[in-house]
Amino acid sequence: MHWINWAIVIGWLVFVFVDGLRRSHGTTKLDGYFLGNRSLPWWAVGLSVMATQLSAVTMIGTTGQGATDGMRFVQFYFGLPVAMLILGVTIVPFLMRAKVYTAYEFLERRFDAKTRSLAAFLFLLSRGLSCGTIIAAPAVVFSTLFGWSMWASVAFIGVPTVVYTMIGGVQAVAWADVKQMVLVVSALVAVVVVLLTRLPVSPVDALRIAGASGRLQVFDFHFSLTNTYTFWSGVIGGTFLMLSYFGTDQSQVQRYLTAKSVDEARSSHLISAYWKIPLQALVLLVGVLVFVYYLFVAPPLYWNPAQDRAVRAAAPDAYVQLEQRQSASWIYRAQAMESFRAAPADRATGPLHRLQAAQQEDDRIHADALAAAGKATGQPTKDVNYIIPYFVLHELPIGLTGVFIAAVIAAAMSAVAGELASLSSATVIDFYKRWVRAEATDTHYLRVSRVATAGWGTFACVVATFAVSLGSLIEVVNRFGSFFYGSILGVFFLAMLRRATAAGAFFGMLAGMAAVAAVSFGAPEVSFLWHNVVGVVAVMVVGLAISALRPAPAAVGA
Amino acid sequence: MTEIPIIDPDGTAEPPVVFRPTGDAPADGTRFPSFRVLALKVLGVELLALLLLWWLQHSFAS
Repeated sequence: MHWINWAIVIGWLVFVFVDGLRRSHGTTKLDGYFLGNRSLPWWAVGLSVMATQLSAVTMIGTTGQGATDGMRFVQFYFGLPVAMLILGVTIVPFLMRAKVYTAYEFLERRFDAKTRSLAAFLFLLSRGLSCGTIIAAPAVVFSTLFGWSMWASVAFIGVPTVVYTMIGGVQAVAWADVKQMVLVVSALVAVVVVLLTRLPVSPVDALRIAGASGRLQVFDFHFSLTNTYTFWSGVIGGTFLMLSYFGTDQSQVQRYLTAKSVDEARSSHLISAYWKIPLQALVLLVGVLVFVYYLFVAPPLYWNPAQDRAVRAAAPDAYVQLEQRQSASWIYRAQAMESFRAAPADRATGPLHRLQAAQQEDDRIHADALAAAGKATGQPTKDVNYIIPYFVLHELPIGLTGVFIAAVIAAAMSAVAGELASLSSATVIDFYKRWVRAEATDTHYLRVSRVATAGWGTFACVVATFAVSLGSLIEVVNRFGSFFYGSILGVFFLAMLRRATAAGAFFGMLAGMAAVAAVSFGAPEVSFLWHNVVGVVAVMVVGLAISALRPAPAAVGA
Repeated sequence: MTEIPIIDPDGTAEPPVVFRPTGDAPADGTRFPSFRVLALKVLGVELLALLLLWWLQHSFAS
């Protein structure tokens, strides 16, 4: 990569790091460290919420998905605006007015300590490991592209993030997120502009070609429990997933607890409600346009240079054959595309079928190439995450390449920082302060919080470094974590019903997790989006039944 | 099992949620719009986004 690009990347890292440290001034109390003194404006909180959920995987994986699979992934977010609306009148005012540090703290005030501790423990377990995978995804790509060791790649992303989160707390994280979000959106828009100017056809023709290749297919109205990307999965299952994520996950709850008031917290959520679907559509559109670009420019046989090197070394004859097949296929596809583009709309059927057949042949060659790479490397053969990095490094002008790489790192940093801050708050508030040392000075808790942030950061970096070998373990824990997502949402819904008791909430949560586990293992074909629906329903039914059978004794103040 | 009594952070037993489906002005003087106005805005914007995606899919489909 050109030195100007490196200068931009390093300059951005230094800027975020120094600004994060600057924001730490005045953070001398727990309220400041975990909640930014409840003083952040709604727009900063809203951008921070969006930045936390926009990771490097979005920048390189989702764009790659747009190139290979088109726009249909956007259906996943159709439930988000509805979820934000519901949260704005339910859980957000609950937690804001309760003046809590963590979502789980509220569960003890409403129910009991064991419900709180179970929820917080499950959060720490699942989020601790997922934080490692958030670093690992871009680190693997950087390691491959730049020839770095995994340790170096992980340290490049992880160390500055851990340091500014540890020192500055949530205030540094939120303000860094605002800057990261601006950079990410600017980079995406700039890439779209470059693509549109580099394509030898008009934007309308580019979209027509993308549409002919099925890349603009958004809606699938089939009702299916097994397909994640359908309209109904997105609207129903997605609503429950977003309710769980934004309403009960500490990494999101901590963001809106920093807002000045209930109204500002609700307004911050509306930023996601209004902008998440357009932003995801933009991310996918970048991938779609990259797909069209490589119809005009010969693509490489492998997007992943490590796979390319491995197949060249292990099976040079097969490599040459694959390259020849791909070259012939690309020429045929380019011709088919030209005749499709030149054909008037009423006579486009023949050229369209030719173009689609050419695309299918290209897909077959790519599948064969990946199978050869799988044999040569013994590694998983997916290469979706390498399409956009390849395009960025080979096609973008000097300077913009640096901006995009900085944006990928920014997305990773903002997601990791948000997770670290939430892991630290749950560790200190829900365990250390609750079970180990209930009374101490803020200075003491602040010190412990910084140690907790550093500890979780180190843990995440170690998990990220060994992510490939820990793959199956991480998958198991993530799956376990998904059992709890819908169940914790069910407990929060129970909290709003006066008749619900602590026993109902605790055993309801266990029943919800058991129900999701039963569906997950008994019917693995059911999409995970429906697990949250199952969890919520099970918690509500079992929780209310137990509450009715064993009503609580007279409550304080009731 | 001993139930731990409900402790309400605001000192009242009522959950601190004000649900205003009627569009009345908030009693506590907050500026936040009523639930009905909010729902119309959010769902209106989502509908617009879906219509744009629908247009994108169908205008350029062959």
